[in-house]
Amino acid sequence: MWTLVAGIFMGWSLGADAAASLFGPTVRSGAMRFWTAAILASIFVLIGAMTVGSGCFATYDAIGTQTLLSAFLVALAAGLTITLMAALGLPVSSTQAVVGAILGVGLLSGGVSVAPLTKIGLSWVLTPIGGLVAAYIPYKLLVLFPQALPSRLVNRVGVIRVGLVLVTCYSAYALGANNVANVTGVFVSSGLLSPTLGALIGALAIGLGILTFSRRVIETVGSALVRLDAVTALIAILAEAITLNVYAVIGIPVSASQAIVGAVIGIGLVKGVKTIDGRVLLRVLFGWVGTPTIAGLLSAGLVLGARLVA
Amino acid sequence: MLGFWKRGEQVNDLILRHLAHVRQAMSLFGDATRAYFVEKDVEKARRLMVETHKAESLADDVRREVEKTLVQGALLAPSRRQLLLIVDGIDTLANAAQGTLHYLVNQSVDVPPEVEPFALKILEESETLFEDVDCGVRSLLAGDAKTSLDCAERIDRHESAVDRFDAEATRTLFALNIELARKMHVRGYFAVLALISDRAEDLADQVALVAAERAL
Repeated sequence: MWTLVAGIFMGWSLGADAAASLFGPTVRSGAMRFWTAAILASIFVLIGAMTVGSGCFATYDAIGTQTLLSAFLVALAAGLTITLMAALGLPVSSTQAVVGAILGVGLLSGGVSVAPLTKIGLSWVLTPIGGLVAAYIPYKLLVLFPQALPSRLVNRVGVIRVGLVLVTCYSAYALGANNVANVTGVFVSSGLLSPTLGALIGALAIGLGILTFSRRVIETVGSALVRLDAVTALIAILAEAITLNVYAVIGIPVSASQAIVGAVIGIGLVKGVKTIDGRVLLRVLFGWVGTPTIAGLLSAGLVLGARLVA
Repeated sequence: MLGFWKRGEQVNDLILRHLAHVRQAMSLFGDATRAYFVEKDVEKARRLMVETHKAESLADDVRREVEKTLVQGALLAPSRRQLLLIVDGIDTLANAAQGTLHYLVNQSVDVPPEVEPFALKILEESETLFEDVDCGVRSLLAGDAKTSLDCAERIDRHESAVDRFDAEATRTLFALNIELARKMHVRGYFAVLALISDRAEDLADQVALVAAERAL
């Protein structure tokens, strides 16, 4: 059971990191106090993980079945990659770290299936596009039909505020549904945990990250959403949540941060302004290549190290 | 959850109440200035100056109430900041009106008859200008960005008119054969009188900015 520590550590860092896009704008805009947002988000992560989250476990299982040791090494390598990259200020995607780590272990053990990998690779490219479309359509509609929002200041702000609270809950639900497999997927694959228990432990670990460390992340790191006003932030979070939710239903874990980058670009397309600079896009590309590579090398190194010790 | 909506409504009502007190201060300021120049009744002007001060104090109280309600979490952070700036802007008009009366009445400014009409013209412009301030703020709260922008534009025009009258007053004043000390004293009065429109122009800029930001 001690091997789960690596997974819990991963879940904790995922929860802390995801908070910036999950409810950062909601807290910063004053729509909700931090603790209200953090508690609500933790509850909805749990609901998402327990209701839909187990769907994504199958995808990790399809890449390659894990042993207890390989599951531990995958989680450890992915967790270390996330921590290392966060410390270096580089973009972090837990999904890509886990996939890279599974590949690293799988290639040395000779147990990697190509078909699910193709599906996952395609989803990485489609995630920002999904975010873009999911933000472009509602924002375009809002620009075409501005009367959809009340014009009176107090009512308008009230509607935006309620909207921010609702999308915060929805995006937390979608994060739990989609990303819980990143935390405990390999342990479910190894047979250590049942899908239900995996979803529960994964969601609790994410919740722990949200409750214990996300305030600092929101205050220091921020996200691509920081420059957006309340309405566009609301739409970007909604788009992120829709993207995560759709992929959760399909059963593919994807990166929340890349969905949000796509959403911000979608809003920029409607506004006719560039909302994302070249460096952010480079970071997305790095997320596709760099994160899984580092995690893969690290997990392969850990496997070799374990073999030497054994 | 709907508590914040109630606080939002409270802020809306408080801003309108604040506006009403500033309107009262501006109206008393107009009466006091006319009592001084037209009726030549300094005592009446002094009495009205005290009334203006009271209206300004009431406006201050309401402004503080607005600040308190906003700090308690009404609306969203960006709207709070914008509304605070607007309420502060409205408040400066009452302050400027009060300051102008203090200068005129307490220092018994001896305005030459050749220059007096300019003071009354500036007063008229300031009064009309306040109507546009009122219209701009009410439209903003009602969500009518276009009317807000129109009002802000009219405030700018009134401010330009005040500048012209002020410049003409200065030229006329310094062409007169009176003591330089008196000229400087009167010039000081015109400077504070024109301050009302300057502050209204700042407020108009703020109103225009908020109205423009409302566009998606």
